[in-house]
Amino acid sequence: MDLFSHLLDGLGALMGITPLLVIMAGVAIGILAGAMPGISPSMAVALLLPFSFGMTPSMGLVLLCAIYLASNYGGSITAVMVNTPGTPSAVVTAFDGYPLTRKGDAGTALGVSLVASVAGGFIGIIILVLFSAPLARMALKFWPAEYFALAILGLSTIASLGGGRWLESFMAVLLGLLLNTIGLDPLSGVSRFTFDVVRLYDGFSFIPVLIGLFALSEVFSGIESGEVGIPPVQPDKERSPWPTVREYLKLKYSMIRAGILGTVIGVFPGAGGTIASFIAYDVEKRLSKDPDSFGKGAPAGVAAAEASNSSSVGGALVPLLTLGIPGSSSAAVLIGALMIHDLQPGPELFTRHPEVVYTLFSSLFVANIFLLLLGLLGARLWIKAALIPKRLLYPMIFAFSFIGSYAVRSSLFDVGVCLVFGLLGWLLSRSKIPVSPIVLGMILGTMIEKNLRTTIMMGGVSLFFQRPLSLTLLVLAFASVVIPFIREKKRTGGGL
Amino acid sequence: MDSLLVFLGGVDSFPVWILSFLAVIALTAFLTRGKHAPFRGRIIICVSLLFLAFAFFLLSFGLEEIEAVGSSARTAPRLWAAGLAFFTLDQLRRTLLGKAPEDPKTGDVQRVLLAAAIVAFSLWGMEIVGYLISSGGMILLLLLLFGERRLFILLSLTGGWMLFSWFVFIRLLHLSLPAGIYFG
Repeated sequence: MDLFSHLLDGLGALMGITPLLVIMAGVAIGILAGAMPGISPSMAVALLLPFSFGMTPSMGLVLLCAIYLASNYGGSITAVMVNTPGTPSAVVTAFDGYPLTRKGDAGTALGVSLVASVAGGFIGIIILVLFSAPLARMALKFWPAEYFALAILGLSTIASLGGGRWLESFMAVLLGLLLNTIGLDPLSGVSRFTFDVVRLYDGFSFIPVLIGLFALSEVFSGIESGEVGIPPVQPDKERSPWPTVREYLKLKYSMIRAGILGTVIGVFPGAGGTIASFIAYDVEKRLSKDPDSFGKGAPAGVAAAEASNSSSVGGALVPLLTLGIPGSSSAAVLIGALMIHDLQPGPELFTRHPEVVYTLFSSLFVANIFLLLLGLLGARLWIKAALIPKRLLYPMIFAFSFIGSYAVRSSLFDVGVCLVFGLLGWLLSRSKIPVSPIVLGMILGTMIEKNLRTTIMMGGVSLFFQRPLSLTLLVLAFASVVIPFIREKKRTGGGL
Repeated sequence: MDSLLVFLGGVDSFPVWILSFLAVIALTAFLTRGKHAPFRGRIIICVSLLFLAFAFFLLSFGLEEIEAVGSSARTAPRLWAAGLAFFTLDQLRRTLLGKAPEDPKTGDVQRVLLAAAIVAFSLWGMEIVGYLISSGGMILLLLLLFGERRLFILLSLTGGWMLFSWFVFIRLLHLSLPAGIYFG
């Protein structure tokens, strides 16, 4: 009962013009920032951090959390419209969102991504409110062995990402893992494969690689196939560009499953929305009656990706608020915001400053409603953008990609990396080698290596099998690769 | 051996690596005439990946070992390079046996290369004339390359982008975009 009265008090604190304007501004800024490739949710929160200095602790946190929440959705807009994920967690949204746009169904992609984001956001917040404490206790039981196993489980999604091309997927994921070793070794600090080039000490920045592999390679393929001379696919004027309520309802279980999964994964520090969306997408594809439609414009794929990455926001706030451990890089910036306002994240935050915590919880519900309203308003504009001819759109994508790649580290080297990866992605796609597993390998590479070596140092390889949670995750990962592989072999009569 | 590894891992070895890579590709292209010609692109990609795996494996011997840390910086690169070589060799075997899909029909590759060249040129130009002029020039050239001839569209898109990026990225977001040597 206490919980609900605290929540009502929190909601009461938000009932005024100023708090509502703060939340609306946070949501609007978050959507815009997320839609810009190169501006990650953590960067958006960090950029706006100084604006919270003059606010009360509650309002400052409310503003930053609204930005964090909305930027996760914003990343999906460019993923759907131009195959350029605005944030790393929107990579998976592009798998089915962009094919839908290519078919002239951008409305469905945008509608589903918005509704799934909002649904996932609500699921994440409800779980955050109800289960903060037990989930935080579970996350504390994770050792490096479990993190390694979790990352391997994430890696096992290549079985889905490659669209049945197993051998090519394994090659691509290993290429991603190998490229990820460039830079300083995460444990010893030894310089690896940098050729003494200082800019390579931090390895390849993830965003330029992402933009190159997804956006530029797509543009190069479009130029090669002569798409610059073809008029864009016109939407069917007979039907509304938006999905019907029935179409949304068909996806309800996908959203709920992905929402819960995203929250749970979001709780684990370092896992975050990107891994959550990869795993949720994979689960959805496996459960689907029509798995072959995934990657070709399946609304369930968009729903799973978006619901999971939005719900991971709620998950990431669990260890942040209850233990003072950030569940994601954006949550790490939020710790800074708490400290600026003399608030120590951890169990005492709930007892000493319940008004701050519950105002924040309530504000997330309100922010989700604003996200739905502003998202619906903005999406009408994005649908019109899909009608721009490719010969006009492609040069803008190049220019936009430059900004996105440059903004991360203010480095022209990164823009060059983006171009090189664009050409690499184009060449690989021509040979039917999927590029998504490369990204997956680069995302999970550091997590896998660090936790593998730490576990070996702590007690050897046997530790992976002695810890029940780690063993369970590894068995799940093994099964999720081997079972579909055997099924596929039986179906095709042999051959990878 | 140690001095060779130090050389190969340094910036001075770039020409050696690039020339070796080009030689391997040229040799592969030469050897894949005849019945393997429909798979040439795929074979070249496989050989490139094998070259990459070999390079990483070789260079891993030159990585410094720090005993106190208790685990080696060489472990992961060797593991991934070996895995990549294993799967790529199998792919190569399947391709040579004709079990892999043939290369797709070549489209307008010339236009792709021209577009990439314009983008690379613009990237180089950013250090000289700055982001705004360079990206504007790039947009104009790409529009022309893609067949746009309407003067109003050419000028409004180029100018519009320059204005937009100046206002949003420089004025509003305070991104320090390259200003170039003349305007910096």
